[in-house]
Amino acid sequence: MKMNKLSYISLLVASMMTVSSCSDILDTPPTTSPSESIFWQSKSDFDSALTGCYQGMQAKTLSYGMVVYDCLTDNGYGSSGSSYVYKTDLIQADNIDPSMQGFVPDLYKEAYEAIARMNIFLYQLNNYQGGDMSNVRNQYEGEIMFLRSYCYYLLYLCYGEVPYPTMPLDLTTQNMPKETLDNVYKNLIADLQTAIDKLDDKTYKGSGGHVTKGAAKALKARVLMLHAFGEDGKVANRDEVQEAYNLLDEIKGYSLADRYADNFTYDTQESSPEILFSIKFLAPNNYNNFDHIYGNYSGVRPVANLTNEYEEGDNRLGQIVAFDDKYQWPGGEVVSLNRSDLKKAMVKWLTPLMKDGDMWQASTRSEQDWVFLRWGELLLLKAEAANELGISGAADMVNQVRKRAGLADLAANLTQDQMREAIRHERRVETPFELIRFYDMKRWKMMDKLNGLELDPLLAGHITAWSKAHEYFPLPQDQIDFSNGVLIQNPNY
Amino acid sequence: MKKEIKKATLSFWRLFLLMVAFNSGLSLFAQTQTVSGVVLDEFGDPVIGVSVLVKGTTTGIITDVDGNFTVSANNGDVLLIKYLGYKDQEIKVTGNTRLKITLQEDSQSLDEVVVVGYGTQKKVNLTGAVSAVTGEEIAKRPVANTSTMLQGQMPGLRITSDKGQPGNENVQIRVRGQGTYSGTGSDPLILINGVEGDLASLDPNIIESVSVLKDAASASIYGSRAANGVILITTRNGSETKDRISIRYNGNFAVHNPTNLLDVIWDSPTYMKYFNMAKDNSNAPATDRYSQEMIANYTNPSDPIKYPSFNWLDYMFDPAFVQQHNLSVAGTTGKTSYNASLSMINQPGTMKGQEFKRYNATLDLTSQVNDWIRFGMYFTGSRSNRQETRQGDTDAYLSTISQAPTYMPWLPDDGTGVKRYTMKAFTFESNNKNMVAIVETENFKNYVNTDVNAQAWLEISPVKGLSWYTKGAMRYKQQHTKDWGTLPTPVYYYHDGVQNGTLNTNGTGLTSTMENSSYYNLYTYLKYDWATPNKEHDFSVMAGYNLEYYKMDNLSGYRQNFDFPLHELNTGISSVQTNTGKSEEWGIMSAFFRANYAFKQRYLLEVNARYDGSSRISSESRWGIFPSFSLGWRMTEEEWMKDLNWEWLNSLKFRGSWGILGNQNIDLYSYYALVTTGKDYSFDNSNLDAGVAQTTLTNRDLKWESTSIGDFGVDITAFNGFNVTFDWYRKRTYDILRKAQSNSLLGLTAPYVNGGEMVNKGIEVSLAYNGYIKDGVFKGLSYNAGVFFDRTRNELTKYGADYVDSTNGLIYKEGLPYGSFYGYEAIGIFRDEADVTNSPKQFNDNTLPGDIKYADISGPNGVPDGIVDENDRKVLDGRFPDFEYSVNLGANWKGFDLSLMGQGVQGAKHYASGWGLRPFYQGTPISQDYIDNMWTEDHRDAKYPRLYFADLGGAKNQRESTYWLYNASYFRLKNLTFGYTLPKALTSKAKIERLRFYFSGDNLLTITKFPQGGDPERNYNSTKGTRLVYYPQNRIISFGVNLEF
Repeated sequence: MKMNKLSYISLLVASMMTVSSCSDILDTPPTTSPSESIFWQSKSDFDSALTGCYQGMQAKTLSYGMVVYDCLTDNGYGSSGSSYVYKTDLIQADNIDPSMQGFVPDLYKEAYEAIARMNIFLYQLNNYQGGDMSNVRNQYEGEIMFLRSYCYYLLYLCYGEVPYPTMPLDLTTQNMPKETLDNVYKNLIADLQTAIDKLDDKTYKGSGGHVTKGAAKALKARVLMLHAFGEDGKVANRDEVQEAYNLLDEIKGYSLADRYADNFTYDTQESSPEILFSIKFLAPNNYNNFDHIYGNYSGVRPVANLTNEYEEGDNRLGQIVAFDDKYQWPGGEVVSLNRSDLKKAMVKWLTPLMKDGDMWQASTRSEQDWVFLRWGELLLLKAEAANELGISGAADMVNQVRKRAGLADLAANLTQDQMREAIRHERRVETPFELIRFYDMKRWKMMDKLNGLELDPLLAGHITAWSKAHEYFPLPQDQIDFSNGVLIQNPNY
Repeated sequence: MKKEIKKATLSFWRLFLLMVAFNSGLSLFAQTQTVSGVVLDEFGDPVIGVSVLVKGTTTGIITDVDGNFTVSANNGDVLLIKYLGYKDQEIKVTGNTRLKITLQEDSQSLDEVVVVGYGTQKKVNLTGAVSAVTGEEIAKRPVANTSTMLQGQMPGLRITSDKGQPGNENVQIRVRGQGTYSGTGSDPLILINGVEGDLASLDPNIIESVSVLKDAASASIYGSRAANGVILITTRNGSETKDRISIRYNGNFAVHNPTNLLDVIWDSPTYMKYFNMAKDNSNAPATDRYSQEMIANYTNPSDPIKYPSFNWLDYMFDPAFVQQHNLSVAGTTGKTSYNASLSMINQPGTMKGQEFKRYNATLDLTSQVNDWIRFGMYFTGSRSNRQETRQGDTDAYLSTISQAPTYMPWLPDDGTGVKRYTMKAFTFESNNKNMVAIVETENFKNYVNTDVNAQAWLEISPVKGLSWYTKGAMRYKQQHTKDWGTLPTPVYYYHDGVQNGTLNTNGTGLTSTMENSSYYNLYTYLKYDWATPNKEHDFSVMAGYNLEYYKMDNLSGYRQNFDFPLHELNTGISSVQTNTGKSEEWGIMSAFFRANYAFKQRYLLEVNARYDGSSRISSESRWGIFPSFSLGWRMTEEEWMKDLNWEWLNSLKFRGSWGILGNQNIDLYSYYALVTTGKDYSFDNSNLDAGVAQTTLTNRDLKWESTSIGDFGVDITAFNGFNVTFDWYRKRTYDILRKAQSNSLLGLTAPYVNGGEMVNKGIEVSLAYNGYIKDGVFKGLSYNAGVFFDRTRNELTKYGADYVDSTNGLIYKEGLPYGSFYGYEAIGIFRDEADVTNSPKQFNDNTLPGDIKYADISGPNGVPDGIVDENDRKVLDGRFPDFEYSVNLGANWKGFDLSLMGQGVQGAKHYASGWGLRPFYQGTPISQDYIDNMWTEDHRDAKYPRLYFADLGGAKNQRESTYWLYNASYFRLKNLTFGYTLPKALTSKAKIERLRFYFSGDNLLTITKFPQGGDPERNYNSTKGTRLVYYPQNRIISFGVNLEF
């Protein structure tokens, strides 16, 4: 009996030892995501990381959400009830504070998120020795430089003085002071020049949807034309205007699409000859909420102040705004759009509904590309530069745009001032809901127009306002709080 | 049931003692004097089988049927009266008188044991803070979720249930408050028979006892997962049956009603009138109004179908009939005991479209193989099926109220027989989706859950005092979810039948997701007990080893377009389809140790330690040790206390403990630098290129998050039935595993770091009294009353930079409770223009009379500056309650039993907003309360702002302020049970051991000042955006039967 007991127990002990000695259960590497230690090893890794950088540009305030920039201007109103307009109604009423939600913190966060991804890419590219990258190294670097500049351009436009990291950061290096306004501008110009130098000179189509030399030139021209104006709204730096003109003049291979709206509907964008750069989407898996936000909810509402600006017979108006909640897409029935209490709905950018009874839904997976650089707008920018410099041809460029809109040519022999007014008018009616109006109003120093402006007779409760003190947005309060005292708030907040 | 067992046990002992008495050859006539007497119980009834011994001799006898005894003893001898379950008594023999001895029930039985980590402990010897409750007590509530049943049962255990959706009550369990703010969470570890399990899927009928380990001393044996407390569930085995078969049936039939539905006006003319007023105040276009003609049509309509006043809420909610059944068979055959139990619950929701069913089966086998080997098996499986409308219950509720009463859910039949669902009546109306259509077209999400737990254990006791226990367990869980959106359903305008779009079902198609997880647990421990022969020193040591491993696989597929409403992926068309899949795993390995020492049962010492290694922490700092120490002093065991002869004081014990616990529940792979796939982009608008990106910064130098708990407690038993337990504790969580504070420049998700510290201090008091009435009309009535009280003070002691989360209206700042409310002080409603002009400027708002007025309390320089802006925010109290309490009352008399349980929270506030508080939000009707108390020109001293349409006038009336912080104190009568057990004399003729009928009511009464339509019982994580209305809790009226053979 005693022996029996002992042998039982020793058997048990032995089996327990066997079962419990598998100490490798504590080593459980991730089963679903690759570890960084096996990445950045070949060109294919850089290819997918480059794709990842483009994907970073799909963030809402960097792409389709940019429609709301017009709700900071005299073009539109962002309904206070909609979370998709990122509190632009408060900014438009000069009711701004550093802790506010929406546009102010979102743009800052999403831009730096995209920038961080690109800085990691550039850092890894710089450290990579493999020969399989030699043919594409410059092109890749140029593309990233452009995309990063795209982000810094938005930060510069909105916040003015911002930090300008160009290297990957970690917890110890993340607290960076902001650069002076001048330095942000200089860095941006230098980065864009690097991009121009490194990129291939192909058209957007020719490059297969990647960034081109032309796109970099166009963005540089845009930044130059932002900086060239003085406090009085007049050109203060002719050299910058000249350089912008030269850059725009060098861009070849683009023309106006026959129909204005073809730049903005998903099925016609790809074949439009007018687009220099866009952020692309491809439903059903890589989609945005364009139709849900702007179609189903009508978060962004065109106002009478804009629609009154159109000349009789301008065919663009009908491609941008639907009145009285009724709209007829080419080849379709008259459909009802009934979310807008201003009786005007934005239809530019939207996916056509061919028959009444259809509607976009929260689950609608939209795929229209966000058009960032478009020849129609650049042509007017070039005309503006030409007019400011006294170079001939401005009228011709404006007339190209007017012709497509079904309008007569400008009167001949306009003075420079008359031409300036004509161009400014044309830019406004050509580019609603493309961010351009905000860019133009800021550089022409006419944001104060918003004080006491009637946007729309139906919009009585909303009072627009603007103050010079708030020319630039505040840096988000949590950024100041988490910077260990390094980041200084913009003045007047 | 329990009482019957006791009786059976008692008869056994009686017999035994009788035999002992005869066998020991007592010589009853050898002494000079004969002492006789009678032994009675507390009700004065004679007791048979009581042992009466002459102390210090072997002389003694057992009382007879009439409780009489006769024994020979000398004058001055002491008679020792012993009877199981009653106190021993000593009576001095003084002359030849007939003695009358009344037994006193031993309420604080010395043998009462409590389940603790890896074993049991005599309650009197406990040095840690452990609360326990029996399965019988908690199973009184007729609810499906077992965790809800623990509400109000123990001090320091706080359970809140957000809502009453069947099978998805969103129960939050906290032991002594919120322990941490890390991603590890503050949920306690729940062990069912020693293996991690889920309370929600557990059959309450099989629970024998529940213990809650609250302090470090009791919990540190579970080391790295015990920081938030441990709940130990022990299930019944058949051993209590003793050589008989016990068959039991419990059935409960209940009617559920919502406790509280939003009370708004569904009368169309009234709706239309205030709708117009709101549109006027919001400056809406003139076309967005009901015309006088429309209003006239709806007023006393000749055709109430055409011009209805439809109450959507009333239509969507109905009383629900719920039934529960449980059948169990327990018994002992030879050396093997068994308990088998089958249960089912069928709970349709009070709201259409929601339902829950669950089946449980459990089998427990315990076998005494021989005198030194015991082994057993426990097998339990549950399968549940839950259905909800696919966008969830909260969405269903708010969509139901986001309708106007001016139309019905469907159009009058146009003769085609095809049901046409309504969009709305007029184009300018606002509304959300038609929930009736959603339910009737079966846009449902179904969850089928399977949870199987199998355990086998072996206990070997080779020599006296030594035992070796080993358990192996496996748990398999499967969740199969099917999320179905039907084909587009057209919806129409009510009056003209014109189609306007399709029903918003949040997309069409089927997503089918299968998630499987398996979990393995093996533990083994050796225990040795030893006492010195004179019993002065008691030692006990235990040491063990534990291994756990978990793996989960998930696979999901989606197809968009289906020709047939058949809910399987293959019936869909493959043109639009996606699939995803992932897996994860973790492991943990541990050694644990416990030593106890007691000196004369008076001074108690316990040491625990656990050594844990986890896969979630890098190999450099993977292992952590978690020790605890505790002391107890049973003062009433002191000789000098005994000399005091304080008969009223039955027991007094002081205990103190300190120890460290860990928390390992961080992300599984937080120390691996990963690149994220799926960052895809299409360059050519026709193909998607695969993209990757690094999105997270990692930190390899993570170590354990730790919690130290100091506890001081007193246990008192007095007056033979009055029990007091008091605990004071200080719980400090440090090295909190939290995301590093980072700014956006980093551009990546911040890594986890060990930073931050939080302290919870609190007290818990439990008072209980058990008594009985000895004579009078209610002779034999036994009763009990108990009150639990607990308060916790939370303080964030280390955080980093102050963080104001204005989105949620919270502040995170050292020295304050974690996530304190932070916002403006609303000081009323602007009376008139003069009030606006004379008050501080309110931001850059378009302030009008009737808007909320905020106080100017500060400015950039810390003093009021005449402008209300960001500088005027302050910390607002109420984040955590002042205290919580519960009350239990019970009585038994002549077969009747009554029990009552109430639970309350005092001093808490909750943010609430949205539907119910914002008139016409998505078309929601207005309440009479709002109409009566809103600002108008004629009613300027108002409680509520002027009537705006849907948005309260915009940001100016929606800021985070005291206006939206509501008093969430409440007292709720959780349960009232009244039962009657038929006399056994009657039932035994039908071989029925016990037959009881009862009424049980749940959530019968709530006393609160919380806004109508909302429930103050909700989790303490409300933020600025938290909605007032949730799926309402259930008020349950039920009848049940307990039958036992």
